[in-house]
Amino acid sequence: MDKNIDVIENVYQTLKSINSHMEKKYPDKKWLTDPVVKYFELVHEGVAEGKPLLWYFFCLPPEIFRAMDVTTFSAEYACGVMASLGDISLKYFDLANVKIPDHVCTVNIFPVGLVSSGETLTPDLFLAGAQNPCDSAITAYSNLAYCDGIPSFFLDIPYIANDRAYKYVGKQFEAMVAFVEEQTGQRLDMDRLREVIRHSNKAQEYFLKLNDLRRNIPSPSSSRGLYIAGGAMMGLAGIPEFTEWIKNRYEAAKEMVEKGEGAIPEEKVRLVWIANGVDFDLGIFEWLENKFGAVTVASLLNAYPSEPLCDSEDESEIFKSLAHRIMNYPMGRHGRGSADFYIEECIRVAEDYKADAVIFAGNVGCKWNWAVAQLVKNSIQDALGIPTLAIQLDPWDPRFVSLDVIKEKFAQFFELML
Amino acid sequence: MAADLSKMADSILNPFVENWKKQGKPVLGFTCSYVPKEIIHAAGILPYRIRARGSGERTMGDVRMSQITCPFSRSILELALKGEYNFLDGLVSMNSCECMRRMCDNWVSEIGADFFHFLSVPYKSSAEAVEWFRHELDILRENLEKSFDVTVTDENLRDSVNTYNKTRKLLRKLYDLRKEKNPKISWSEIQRVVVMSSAMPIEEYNTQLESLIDEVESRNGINNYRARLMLIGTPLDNPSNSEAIEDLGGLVVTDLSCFGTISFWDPFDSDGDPLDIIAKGYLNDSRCPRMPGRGGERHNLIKEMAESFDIDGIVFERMMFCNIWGGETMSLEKDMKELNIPMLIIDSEYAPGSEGQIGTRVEAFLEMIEGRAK
Ligand code: SF4
Ligand code: SF4
Repeated sequence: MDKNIDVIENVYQTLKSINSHMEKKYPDKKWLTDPVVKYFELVHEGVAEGKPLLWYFFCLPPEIFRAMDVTTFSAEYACGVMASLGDISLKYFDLANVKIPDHVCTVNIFPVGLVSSGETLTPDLFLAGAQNPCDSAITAYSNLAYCDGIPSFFLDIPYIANDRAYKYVGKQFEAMVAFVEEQTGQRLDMDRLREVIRHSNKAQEYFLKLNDLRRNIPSPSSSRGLYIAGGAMMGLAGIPEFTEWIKNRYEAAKEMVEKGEGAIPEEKVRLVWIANGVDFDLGIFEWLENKFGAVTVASLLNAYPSEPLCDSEDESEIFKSLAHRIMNYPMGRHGRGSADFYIEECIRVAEDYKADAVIFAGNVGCKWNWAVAQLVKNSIQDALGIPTLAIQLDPWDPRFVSLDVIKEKFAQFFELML
Repeated sequence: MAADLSKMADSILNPFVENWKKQGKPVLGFTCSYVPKEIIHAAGILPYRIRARGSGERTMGDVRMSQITCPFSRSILELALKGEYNFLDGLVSMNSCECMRRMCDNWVSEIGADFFHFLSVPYKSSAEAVEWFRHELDILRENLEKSFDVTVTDENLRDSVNTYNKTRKLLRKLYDLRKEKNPKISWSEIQRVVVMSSAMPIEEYNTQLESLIDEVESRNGINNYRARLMLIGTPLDNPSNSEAIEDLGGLVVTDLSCFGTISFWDPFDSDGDPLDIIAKGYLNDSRCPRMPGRGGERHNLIKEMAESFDIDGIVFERMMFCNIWGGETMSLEKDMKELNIPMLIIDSEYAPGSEGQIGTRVEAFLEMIEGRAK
């Protein structure tokens, strides 16, 4: 199928120019924009070369698709990146809302808007897993696939994460691979998969070690750096350049810890973010750092599982470990399972990272989060005696709640707290 | 006698449940049409589908679940926090939708439950999914046996399947009465009667239903209506909207809704391993859009019903903040347009008094249908 790559081309070129601007003006900060450029470069290249285009919901393992030589596109990661570039995503949200109610999570309706616009690349196939973590993802993907006749494969992800579930999902990966092979004519190269997995594991190792370094007071890593690393892990796991990038981030942070330096001159408040973020303006992080000395030391979105993927000769073990990975993805495991599990983790992370406050940056479309917001707040207060600021926002659409309003809520919160 | 059923649907507790409790027998609440009532029933426990009728103004439910989640779930929580569900001996929940399962999380955290079981119900109907579900059912069976000190034999399960199959067949018979040109029973009555199928002992329900069907035969038909309608959508345990539609001359003749046909339509097989039968019976049902990738099947069922019930239009009632049915809008609108079936979408806030607000839109919809007929 011919693809209109205009939008991807534009985003890619914009990111490239930001990247070279950084190189010239702020060479020591250029690393912040490297992952997104790489991501769009891969999409751009793949589509330009005419490789089949596979859209997948982010809670699926990109490692498999990388070993099938198809172009992968996670609309969720792309939505986050595009939202940070200004108004360019808004029309896609509006287009989607003609077909799907506006209370459904914006990041999930984004693909509906992209496809409806006809301006951008139409996927050759869709893959998603129900309900890992939410209904909105599956409802958007399945209805879009149905209406636009896009071949799709849905995995059934059980609520309970245990050995039986990992085997069950691992088996479904085998069926999913067969489906992708049939649809695209590409084959899964198991040797290549093992190689991708080794890169992914290495990246994960550095990623988790970097997370650990943030437990130090002061934290050696900036809030923005933390957020970008989390997104990049989702979009680029298994890509050698990303492994190198995250290794560099870890080494830089390690050096700072050894010197006793923090990411900002004076760390006054340590924040842990749960739920979502403010993707449409990551400048919120610097504003918090500069105005209040408030550094984000952890985000639940960065809480990647610690188990490495299996790269053995046994294919079924590999699929099972990929199942383990996706069922324990951040957001995936938090939204899919019981609230107890989610709340315990919020408390544990806040405690481990010595947080002074928790930020519940709640996406207005994320029902599983808001349905227990009160419980989360109260439980954190009871367990650790620290406050939680719950803000209703749309991480990708500033028209719902503007940055000014969000800042005002923070200002009021810190006034009470500090 | 049968008229009682309809009246009883307006409150959570009813004399049948009270009587059951008086005998010292347990009642378990369940949350979704995909929870297999048969297993609970086979353990000698009354499966009671929790609902929100009569919740009134919400305060506690909204504070806990915020105002941007499913109002039906919030209303259930409100009732539970007010103690209206204190007669339950526990809950069986499942991954129906985010809001409902989170409602249960709040319930368990605040009120507690002597017995709580979560079923991981697949979203697919493949052989592997059936096997997974069968295993889940076995775990539920064991948990019930252990917690309530009972034995659930295959024979018990088979009996339960047969009993519920009888209900399914009787309800189909009841619905068939709506196929007539001048049906003898109103839709709001049917809605209430169907709700009762999961709110009282099923054997007594079947008896009541049989006599209701006989009794209806002797009634006069309804003939002053303007259009035959089908209702589609989220949990509709509250017939107020249907009454508002009926008052305006809309004759609802059938539905594809959570408390309606989604909960009973196709009888299960009766031969073979009972857990297998139950697992397949539930998963084969694609009526609820919680089952992804089966929109085509679902819309074909709508088409078949539209033909057999001779409908003129569809009223699609969506619960506010329901992702599953909200997303379904996209494909449903497309397919109904292609089938040339007019459809009115109503967003339900599940709040007292909100049904009055649909009048103008229903009136305009009925006029549009009448205009098409000319
Ligand atoms: S923010 Fe919530 S609703 Fe949106 S994709 Fe994540 S889990 Fe789903
Ligand atoms: S709408 Fe579907 S998922 Fe929700 S309660 Fe009803 S049957 Fe279950």
